[in-house]
Amino acid sequence: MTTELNAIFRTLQKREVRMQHQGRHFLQIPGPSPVPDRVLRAMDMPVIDHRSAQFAALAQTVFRGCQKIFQTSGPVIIFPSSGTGAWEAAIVNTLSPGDKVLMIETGHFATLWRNMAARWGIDVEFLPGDWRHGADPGAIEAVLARDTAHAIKAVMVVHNETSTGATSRIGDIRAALDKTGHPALLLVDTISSLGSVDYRHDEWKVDVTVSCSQKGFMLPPGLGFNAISEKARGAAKTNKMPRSYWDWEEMLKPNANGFFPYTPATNLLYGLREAIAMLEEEGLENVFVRHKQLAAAARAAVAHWGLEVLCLNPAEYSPVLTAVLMPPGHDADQFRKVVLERSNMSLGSGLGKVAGKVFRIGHLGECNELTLLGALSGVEMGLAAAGVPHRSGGVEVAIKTLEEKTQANSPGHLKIVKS
Amino acid sequence: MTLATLPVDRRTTARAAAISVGGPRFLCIDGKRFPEEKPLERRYSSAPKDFAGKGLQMTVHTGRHFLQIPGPTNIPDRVLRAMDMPGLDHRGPEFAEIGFAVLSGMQRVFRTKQPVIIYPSSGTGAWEAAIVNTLQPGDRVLMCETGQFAILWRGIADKFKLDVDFIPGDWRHGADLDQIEARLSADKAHKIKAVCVVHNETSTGCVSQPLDVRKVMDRVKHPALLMVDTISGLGSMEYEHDAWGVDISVAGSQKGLMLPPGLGFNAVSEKALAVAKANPGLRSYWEWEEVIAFNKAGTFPYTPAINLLFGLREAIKMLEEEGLENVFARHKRHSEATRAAIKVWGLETQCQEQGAHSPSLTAVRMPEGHDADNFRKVVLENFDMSLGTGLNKIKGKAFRIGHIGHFNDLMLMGTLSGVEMGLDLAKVPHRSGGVLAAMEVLKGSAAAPMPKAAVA
Repeated sequence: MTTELNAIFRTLQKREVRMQHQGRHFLQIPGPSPVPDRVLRAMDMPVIDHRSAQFAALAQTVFRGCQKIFQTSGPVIIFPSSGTGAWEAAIVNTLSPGDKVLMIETGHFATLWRNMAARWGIDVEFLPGDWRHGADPGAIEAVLARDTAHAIKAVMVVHNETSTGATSRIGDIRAALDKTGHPALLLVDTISSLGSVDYRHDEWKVDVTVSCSQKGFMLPPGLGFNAISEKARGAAKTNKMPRSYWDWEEMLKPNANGFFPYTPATNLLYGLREAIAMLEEEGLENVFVRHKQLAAAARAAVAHWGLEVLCLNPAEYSPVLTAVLMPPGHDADQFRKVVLERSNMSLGSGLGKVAGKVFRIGHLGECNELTLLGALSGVEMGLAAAGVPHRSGGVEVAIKTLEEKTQANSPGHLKIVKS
Repeated sequence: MTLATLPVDRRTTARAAAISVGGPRFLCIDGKRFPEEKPLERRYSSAPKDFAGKGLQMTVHTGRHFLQIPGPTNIPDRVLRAMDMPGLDHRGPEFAEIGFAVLSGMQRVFRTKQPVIIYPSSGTGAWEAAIVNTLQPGDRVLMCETGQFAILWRGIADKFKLDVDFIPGDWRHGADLDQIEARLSADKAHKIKAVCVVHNETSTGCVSQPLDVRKVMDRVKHPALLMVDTISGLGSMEYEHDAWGVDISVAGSQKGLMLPPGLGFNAVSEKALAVAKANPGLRSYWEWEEVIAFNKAGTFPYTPAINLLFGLREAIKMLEEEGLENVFARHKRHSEATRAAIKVWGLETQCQEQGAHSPSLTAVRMPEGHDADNFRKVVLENFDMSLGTGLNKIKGKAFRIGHIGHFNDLMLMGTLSGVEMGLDLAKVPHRSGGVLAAMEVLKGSAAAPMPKAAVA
């Protein structure tokens, strides 16, 4: 907490002159992602009575829509909260102090989730990681195979580690659990992946999927999600951990009729309905392809600049964001400051262990090819302005990559839809 | 053909009409759709299941909906527009300006020099935060059954295994001060760790004055924390977190602050902070200390509800432009005018305590044999106005008129007219002329005058 805070204080102090910026800000942090005007307009509406039938129709629409996005036929619970709240909900519903869980240090967010579990008195086995890979299904399998007494109650994994740009292969991790016949629950954080990366709650037999509104859903922050399996619900029913706000059963009862046990974030639900409609109009498959193509183009530019992508395993490259290592002796935050001031673009900072050493380019949500190319141009100009050694021409390479992809597999938004 | 030219009487029930929420409205009569767009939303005048097999029956509404439930309240267009903005980096310097602005603004609204904590949550979350930061399983707390919201707060306390001493109430008065005093003075061992009171009981329209409770606690020299739920009080009636010696104030965004739901607030005294620091009870999301540490840098430990904070900054500005004193006077004046109408109608207010009538809402008893929810349905169908339902014990027996937040004289008159016409249509025995009586109050000099803003 202290290091993170100090970094924020430093930025605040350094900022002597307020830059005047024109045009639209490039919000290229890996979330909160830019909110489409359609979604903003949908939310820009008078609030309605949350006990009315009109509200119930809205709620039922978003519940059904969320099921499609999570690829589940089970319930999706929506909290008025941040994603951190949805993490907490997953923990307090299924676990109790003293319970043993297996978590994997994929990066900063896995560490934060681990810290939260520790606060709830959970006994966490934290498999160390180098912040450059996803969770290793083999390592998980080995730990589970040794746990013949089935002391481990849950395996908790971050699907897309927002601090590193490495994804974890959830399908393979499920296979590892199945191979050992271990009954632990599988809890997955999809905060920065849902709606951008293929994710299958049911098919992968995930027990609790944690997510939130401000990434692939393209909404402002303020909604937390839990998609839950029958098994998770069963575990919650016998779990004695005191809870109230996050209690699933309290939610599911009124949810059945389209209502909430306490005041829901009504206007964000208007936005959610619109965002789901947008995702469905594009087609989830196309959304996933678009993210992959944009990520490939970003990586091509990074490689050409002669910089290094933080994620080392090509099979685990994130379609959502690309974290880039700065050459030694160059401060990533200083570079980000130059970019913000020169080009009106926010890039993500390095978090925790990699603070100052990496910057992150978000290419998720509403992002399209020209947005990405604008962003990459800002990075390239920023590298020059900050005196960071690099080879120019990364943007050209990104353009080539996108052109090739377009020929091979036309991106979703250009696809001709039969009417 | 546009909506305006359609030959539809507003009391006509059209078949299969579909209208969007507040926005562009499309409707469909006898299978024909006007103007031509896909319907965005079906607007039902009763629960969707009621329509099974009957075909869709609903009333066509025009003009602006009257949202007269006691919260979520009407959102000013200024606040909506302020929120209708692209997000920004919540760790960046521009966000910090907003962070500092809303944190200091909320200190002024709560009237405190102490920290105010803002959660991305409902008001229910802020209740839970007050409990988990300061109390542990087994701790004894004193609560007062002022109505449904006191009962719900008590329910949370039960879930966290607190030992609740619940002073019974008849839902027609504020908190029972004599009983509070009796229980506190009997508690020589100071086992009671907190006294929890709902400032403005939204289910009944009865106010309990936190200052009176503080005086009782001081008189018997009891060290318990004073926790006050001012969810539907803050920003619409006088509130003094510091001067009244409140330890934890709980609030939400969707009432006097005129925002959509989605923000929960805790204002905390030094004493409450010290108790929290020593409290080993498990918590993470609601932990004050961490939020306060990040707030010093103008940001939050986890992603805040950025767009609601844009709205909050605007709402605080509106409250301060009007002047908090004027805001409170306006709410009192509307409450008084509402009661004048009710008196003429010959109905009874739910609140029976002189001086405890809520400035932000009025709950009205229905005469025996008349169902309040049926009356509400008539009002919604005929006049496009949502009134608050009776909750729990008074379900069907009372309805509630919200006159809180972004509200003025003419909105009140429209509201009361809707109630009076609804009483007629629903055949509820009453004397007409309540609306006129309300107007007299608004015209009269005895009532608080319309505030005048200083011209810059």
